[in-house]
Amino acid sequence: MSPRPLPGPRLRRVLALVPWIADHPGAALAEIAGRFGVSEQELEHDLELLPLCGLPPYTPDRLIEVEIVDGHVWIRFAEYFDRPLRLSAEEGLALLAAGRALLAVPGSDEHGALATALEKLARALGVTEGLAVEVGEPPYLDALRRATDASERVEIDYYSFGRDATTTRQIDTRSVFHAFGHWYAAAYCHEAADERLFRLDRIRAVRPTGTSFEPPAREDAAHFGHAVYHPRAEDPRVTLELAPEAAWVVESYPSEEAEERPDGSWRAVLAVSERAWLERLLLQLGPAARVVAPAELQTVGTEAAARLVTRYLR
Amino acid sequence: MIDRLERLTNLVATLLDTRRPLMLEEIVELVPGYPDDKLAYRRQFERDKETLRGIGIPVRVEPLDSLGPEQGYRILPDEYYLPPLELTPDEQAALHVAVTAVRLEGGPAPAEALWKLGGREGEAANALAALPTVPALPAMFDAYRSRATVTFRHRGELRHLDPWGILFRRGHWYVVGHDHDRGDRRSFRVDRIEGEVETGPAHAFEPPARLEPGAVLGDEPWRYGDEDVVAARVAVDARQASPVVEQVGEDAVVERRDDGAIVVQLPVTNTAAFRSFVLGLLDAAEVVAPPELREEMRDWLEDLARSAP
Repeated sequence: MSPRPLPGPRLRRVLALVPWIADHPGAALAEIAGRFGVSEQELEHDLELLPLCGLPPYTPDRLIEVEIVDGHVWIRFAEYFDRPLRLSAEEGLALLAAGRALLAVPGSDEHGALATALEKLARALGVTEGLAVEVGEPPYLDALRRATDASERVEIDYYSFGRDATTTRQIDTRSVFHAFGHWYAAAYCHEAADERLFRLDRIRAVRPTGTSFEPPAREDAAHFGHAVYHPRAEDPRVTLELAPEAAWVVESYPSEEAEERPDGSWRAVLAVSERAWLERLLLQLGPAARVVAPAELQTVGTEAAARLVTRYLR
Repeated sequence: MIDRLERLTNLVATLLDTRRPLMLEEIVELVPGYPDDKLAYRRQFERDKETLRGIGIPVRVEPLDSLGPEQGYRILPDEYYLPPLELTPDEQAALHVAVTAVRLEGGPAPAEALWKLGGREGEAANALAALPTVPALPAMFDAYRSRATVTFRHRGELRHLDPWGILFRRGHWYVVGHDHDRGDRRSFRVDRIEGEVETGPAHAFEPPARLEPGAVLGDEPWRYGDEDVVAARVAVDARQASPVVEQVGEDAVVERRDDGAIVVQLPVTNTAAFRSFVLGLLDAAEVVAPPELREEMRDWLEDLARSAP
């Protein structure tokens, strides 16, 4: 038997299409296909099915009537499908979370169409203010979004967490986006002469330069995850032995090799772009982590601990 | 041979139109496309029922009458239909912008999320934000909106919670509510829930009026814990002072020194998270009080400094 597409997703679409078309008699096929994100062929395929559907005993007066004339559609006798199915938890969550997140972005109109749409949606879903999305408001978000829109080069003071140092650099910001709980600016850095990602909460100052740059094509959301951290080939690798309670390290950082043992402990290989990053990780994990290799990184944790402890011995 | 989609569409219409629960034998008689053999049609109907439930259609199983054990099936219109939303074209367009600008990863595609609201109106937006999703989140959201008590395993313990609200903060989803086992308000990171979320009957509780999940959660990782609260003081060097103030708030600053260093006081209920926060600041921070916490930090660092590589 040849595999057939699952009927669930297509049924969902049909049950959403019918009420809309019934409510908009004579709508154009092209418009409907555009609204529902399907091709016109798929749409016609869905519509062909409907005249065979209805209620027992399936006499002509009990079947759904579909009429297509010159690329326009009419649906009649489908009263039981005159309203769509209620929203699923996934759909309700996706809509509300997206809407609330966008409203939380500084500069959004708190009383505009999105706000009133979300109120109606929340009422229909039976939820009130109990679903909240916080995206944070780093001080220079607005300045950088404006510089991006206007393609203006800016100078920033940036605290590099990995190196534990602040530097000044000129950047051409290509996009500003929120991912993994932080705001990032994807920019061409003139100091590094390369593309870099900057975390907005680590930018200490933004100054105009009076210069503009050629705007490139926009980033896509699908690439955010990869863009945020991708180890460079030249970054040193560290092999860590992790106790079961430190398994979160494997989930939180891209590991190039990770192997779980029967007792729940892990051996993982991570890229280390900066020494301070590894110091933090080892200080925080304490006895739950051990550097297996390379030899020159085996003392990073103990040395950092010995340095920090002096503040507690005074 | 009747197409499966056709049979499913007829099945939905029939179960929605009926005034009383229908027996399986009636259903296979009324809806064309089921096999004749009893075992075969029973199996086929079970599969169909699961498909319908899988896309969120509430197929009910009810006793046919109060006397016998026989069961029937139907879909209650009140449970099926989306209440009229009366969205204006502007509002539909705003939702289209929202689902294209902010993507819930692993959730429905933007066009699909809008299907039941009349599809895409107006223009899509450039991507602005990506929110993660975790397996337990839809079930938790459903329990929250239907006000059902949930049971789940979290860090090896079974918890019973009335979910009052759901909050996304600093890259993580949290559920806040009344914890039956602790008899108090608690919050849980949804991605740390192990296995399935079991949902009890709807309308089991009433959340507090004008609830702000953010206020229940508290603001900082060192407050997400069960320990007795300790007022911890941390000295922070000048170069990290301003980002720390931004994170913990101006109210937490109890001292400003001439060299630009500050001392902040934090209510700690999770010592491990507090230690990670202080160590994350590397050489720029030091626990100054209370003595027990300072000693704990010193011991932690001394043990680590002494450990053999």
